[in-house]
Formats: sequence, C-alpha cells, structure tokens
Amino acid sequence: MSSVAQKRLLSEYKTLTNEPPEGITAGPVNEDDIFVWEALIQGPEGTPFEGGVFPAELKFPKDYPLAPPTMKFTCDMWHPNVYANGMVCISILHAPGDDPNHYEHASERWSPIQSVEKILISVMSMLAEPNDESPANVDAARMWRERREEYVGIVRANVRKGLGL
Amino acid sequence: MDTTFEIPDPSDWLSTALPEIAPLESSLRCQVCKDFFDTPMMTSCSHTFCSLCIRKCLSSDGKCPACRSGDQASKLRQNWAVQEAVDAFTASRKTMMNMARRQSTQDTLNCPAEDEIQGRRGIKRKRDIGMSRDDEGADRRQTRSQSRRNPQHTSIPIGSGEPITIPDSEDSDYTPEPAMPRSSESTNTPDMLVPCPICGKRMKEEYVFSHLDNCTAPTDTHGALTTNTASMSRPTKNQPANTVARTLNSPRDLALQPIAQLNYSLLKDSAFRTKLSELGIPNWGPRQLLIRRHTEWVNIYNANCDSSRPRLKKDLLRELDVWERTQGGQSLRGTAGSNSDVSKKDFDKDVWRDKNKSQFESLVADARERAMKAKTSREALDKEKDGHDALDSRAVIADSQSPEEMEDTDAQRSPSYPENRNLNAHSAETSGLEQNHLSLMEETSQAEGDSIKKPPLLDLPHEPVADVEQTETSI
Repeated sequence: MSSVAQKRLLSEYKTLTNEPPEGITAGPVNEDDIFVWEALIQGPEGTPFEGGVFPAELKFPKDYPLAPPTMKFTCDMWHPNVYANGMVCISILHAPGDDPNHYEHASERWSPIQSVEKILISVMSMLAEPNDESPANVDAARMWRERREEYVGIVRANVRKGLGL
Repeated sequence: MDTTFEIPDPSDWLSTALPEIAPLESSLRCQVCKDFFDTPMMTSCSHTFCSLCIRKCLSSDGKCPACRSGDQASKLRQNWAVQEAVDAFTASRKTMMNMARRQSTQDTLNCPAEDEIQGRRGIKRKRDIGMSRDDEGADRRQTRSQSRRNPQHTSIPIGSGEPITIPDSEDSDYTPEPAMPRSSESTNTPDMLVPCPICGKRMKEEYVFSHLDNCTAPTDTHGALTTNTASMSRPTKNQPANTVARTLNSPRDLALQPIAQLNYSLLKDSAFRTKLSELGIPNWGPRQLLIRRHTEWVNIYNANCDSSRPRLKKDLLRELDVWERTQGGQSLRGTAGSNSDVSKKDFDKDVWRDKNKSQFESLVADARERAMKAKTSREALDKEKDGHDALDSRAVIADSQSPEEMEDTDAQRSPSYPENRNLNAHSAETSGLEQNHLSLMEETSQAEGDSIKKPPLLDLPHEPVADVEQTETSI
C-alpha cells in the first residue's frame, strides 16, 4: 500500500517518461525510494549554459505535494540563484508560508498543483534569466551585473568541466 | 487491476490513434493527486479537486491550491457532474484505449486493399468488446462488495440510452429487499422501471423525483432516510440512479455525519486523548502528533461523508494507518530526537565536524584541564599523606577529585587503588566527610535511577575550578 505522495510521484514519473519536456529528463534514482530523484537539465540555447547538461537532485517530503521538494545541483553551478552548495533558490520551491526573502509574490510559490515538470522548466528559465533581486549567491549576482564577461567565462568553464572536456 | 494499466496516465493516449483524448483525460483528473477525481468537490472559487485532496490542502494552509484564495472545508460542495463524467470515462477507458491502440497499429500496416475486410472486422470487434464488457460487468458485480472504490471498476452501459447506474451501492452489508430490486438490475429489466426509494412503487425513472417530493408512503420507517437525503443537499437532477442508490444505502449513512474540527488550543491533553479514543483512532504520541493525526482523520472521515460510495470505517482506519506509517507517528519514531541528522544515511560528517568545531575543541580543552587538575590534586593528596593539613583543605581535595577517583572512594574497598585506601585509612577526620559524599551520591543516584557515574560528572565542575587554586596554594 502506498501513500498519496508515492502515487502522485509515480504518476508524475510516468508522465515525464511518456511526454518529456524538451531538454529535461527526470526520474527516481532508485526504485526503492521514490522520494529521491535525479534530474538532468540541458543548458538553454542562447545562454552561456548552452551545450551543458546539469545534473541535480530532487528530494521530496513525505507530505508531497502539500510541501515542495528541494533541488540541489550536483555539479558546479555559478548562478545568482543557486547557493554555493548547489541548492536552488527559486520561488516555486518555496512554500507559501515561509518567505525568507520577502520579495516573492504568493502566486509564484509552491502549490500542490505544481509539479516536477513545472519546477524543472522554471529552473531552466532561471538559468537563462537570473533573478538578481534576492540572490542566493551574492558574488555571482554582482559578477552577473557588473562583470558579465567574467561571469560568462566561469559558466562556460563549468559547462566544459561538466562535459569532461 | 490490469497489469498494462498499472498507472493509467493521460500520456498513454499519445502513442495511440487518439492522442486528442489525453487533454480530455487530464481534465478529469485532480490536479493535486493527479488521479481521477474521487468525490470531486468545488471550492468557493469554483475550482474542483478530490474531496480528500482539497480537505488536506485547506487544513494545511487554508487556501485553494489553484488560485490561492482562502477557503474553508465547510464551504465545499459536491460536483456531481464531474463525478459522473469521471465514472463514465473510466468505465469506457479500457475499451477506448484498446480500440485506439489497435487502430494505430492498423494505420501503420496501412493496406488499402484490406479496407473492406477491416470494416467488417471493425463491426465484429465492436461486438466482441460489447460482450466482453458485459462479462466484466458480471465479474465486477460479484467482487464489488469487498472492493474499495476504484475508478476502473465502475461499470456503466455506454451509449445504451439507459439511465446511468452507479452500482457501488451494493455493499456487503446491504441486502436488497425483495420489493426493491437492485438498482443495476432495474436498468436491465425490460420495463425499465425504477422503484421509489420510499414506497417501493415502480415507475419510470424520470418520474421518481417529482414523485419523491410528494410520496405519501408511511414515513415511520423511512422518515430518517428522507431527511438524511434532504440534509445532504445534493443536487438530485440528472443523478437519478445515484440518488436512488444513496437512499437505499442510507441506513449505514446515518452514522456518516461529518466530524467537527476541534479547537486544539482549548483542549487539555487528557481530554484530547479521550476524544481520540472515542473516535476510535490511536491516542498515543506527543500532542503535536495527536493534532496532526486528528486533522488527518477528520479529512479522511469527512471526505468519506462526501462520497456517493462511502467506505466502511475499517477501510478508513487502514488509510489512517498508511498515513501513520508514512507521515505520522511511526515515520517519526526512527528520526525523533535531537541528533536525528546524525543517524541519517547521507549524514555529512565533515560538515558536521566543521560546524561544531569550536564546541568540540572547547570540550577537548575542558577534558584536558580536568585531567590536569585531577593529577595535581592527586599529587596534593600524596603530599598530604605525609603532612597533616587542616581539615578544610582536605575537603577541598576530596571535592576536586576526578570522577573515577570519586567512584573509587565510593567503592572504597578497591585494592587496586592503594592511594585511596591509604587516604581513607589514614585520616579519621576525612572519613566523616566522605560519608557525607557517599550519602550525597546515593541520594543523587537514587534520584536519577541512572548509573552511579553520572552524578559526580555533573556535580564536579562547580567548585573545583575555584578551589583547586586553593589546593595549589596549599601545595
């Protein structure tokens, strides 16, 4: 017998497998534990991330979908909205109750009707357009604003590193 | 359930000849659980979710998941039209899927010469499907009594023009009265008449509702049922069979009154636990868990009250048990306590070490310091053996002993520590003092009910820091 969260995650997994959005792959790491997923996100075209493939780990709470999962890049990621440890900080991953940064609109936050697919699409567009209003990585945000070339350089280097070049 | 449809999903349609069905199926699914609507309820903001899903969402943050406007569980209303659509769709899904799949394989073969034969085959196939559906229907009727509500298992005669019957009213504890044939049978009888749920008079299905309004049958036995049906305030039009089934089922429904949400802050612990045991659910665990369990139970129970096919309480309790194991008390048991992180599998010990480095260092320093003091005090003791110092300085020494020594003084007869024995034998004055120590330690060890080693460990650090200096000066 499985819980609501397990059923829902299985259903999302099946949808993602049958109908994968472009540039996104995701699924449970291990069949025994449906609450930990690995996702692969392609760098959006026309951005410094282009050509890269970025692995990330998604961890789901037991009361999913009432509470959002957490997402952590398992590769080097230099981005204003990604913490140094790889943790992604975007509004869709924040429950409506807590607003650590006091800038997010409630409408952008997590709600049970959101899904893994929507999270990954949001992250993909976050890669293309960083939100520097409330950066998770202040240094990256400043570099992105003031020394764009250097920022692009680091990102490109990470892309090459990720591909093993 | 059919193995090929273990997890039916809208995306199943994409590979068939009818990919257009995918969005249709998506629209018949709840956005929270992604499953077909189970007892769809409409919010004040006109969004529809499963009863249990929306109740859980509202109890967790009081907002509609779709538009985030505030709402209350008491304002939810059943959306029977959606239920009907879901039932009809799920009943025909398998057949449609098979046809759409076969069609797509035929399209790939694509032999124009066989068109005619295919056409004939198509007719035959339809007939086969019709037959197989009937067979399935018969099977279902036998097993339905113990089966839980399952969208896949509703049988509805499709396109027959007959009234739609939702036959889940036949539960194990329902035995049809001879005067009132089972509703599903009634649709199969040639006269197509339906019995009035109150007086049992058979009539055309469309007249039942006008008849119900002024049915003059004796209400002494069924009065409660009619009021119950009325109090449910469900829309009755377009839902003939369902309401009939509901009414037939009513004797059990009488118990199905929604439970009120409690004001937890006003409730004392013991009263709360009594309340839970009155409800028939577990009442162990800390208060926070009791609150979460009660909320969960209220959601499960009230969602069942909304349902047109209520389940038995033991099924609901099983559902609560699943919750208990996945999110409730039993899931917390393993990780309870302050060092829950440490026991985790993916615990990062390097991070932990770095984070608590200062604490570890101060602990190490403390331990070293204490060891040093113990050493110096022992030396002082040795000296004292020879010289006869004042009583108070010895008291200080006894106090500043390390825990191990304390225990040994306590044990006293330990031959491996001649020092202490000497000390005890040596000075008669100190023995009285040590008696005090002994009694003190006995007291604390009794109070703690713990190992004897603990009290001196806790007691020690108070005075020695200041007193050792005295001893040092005395040395």
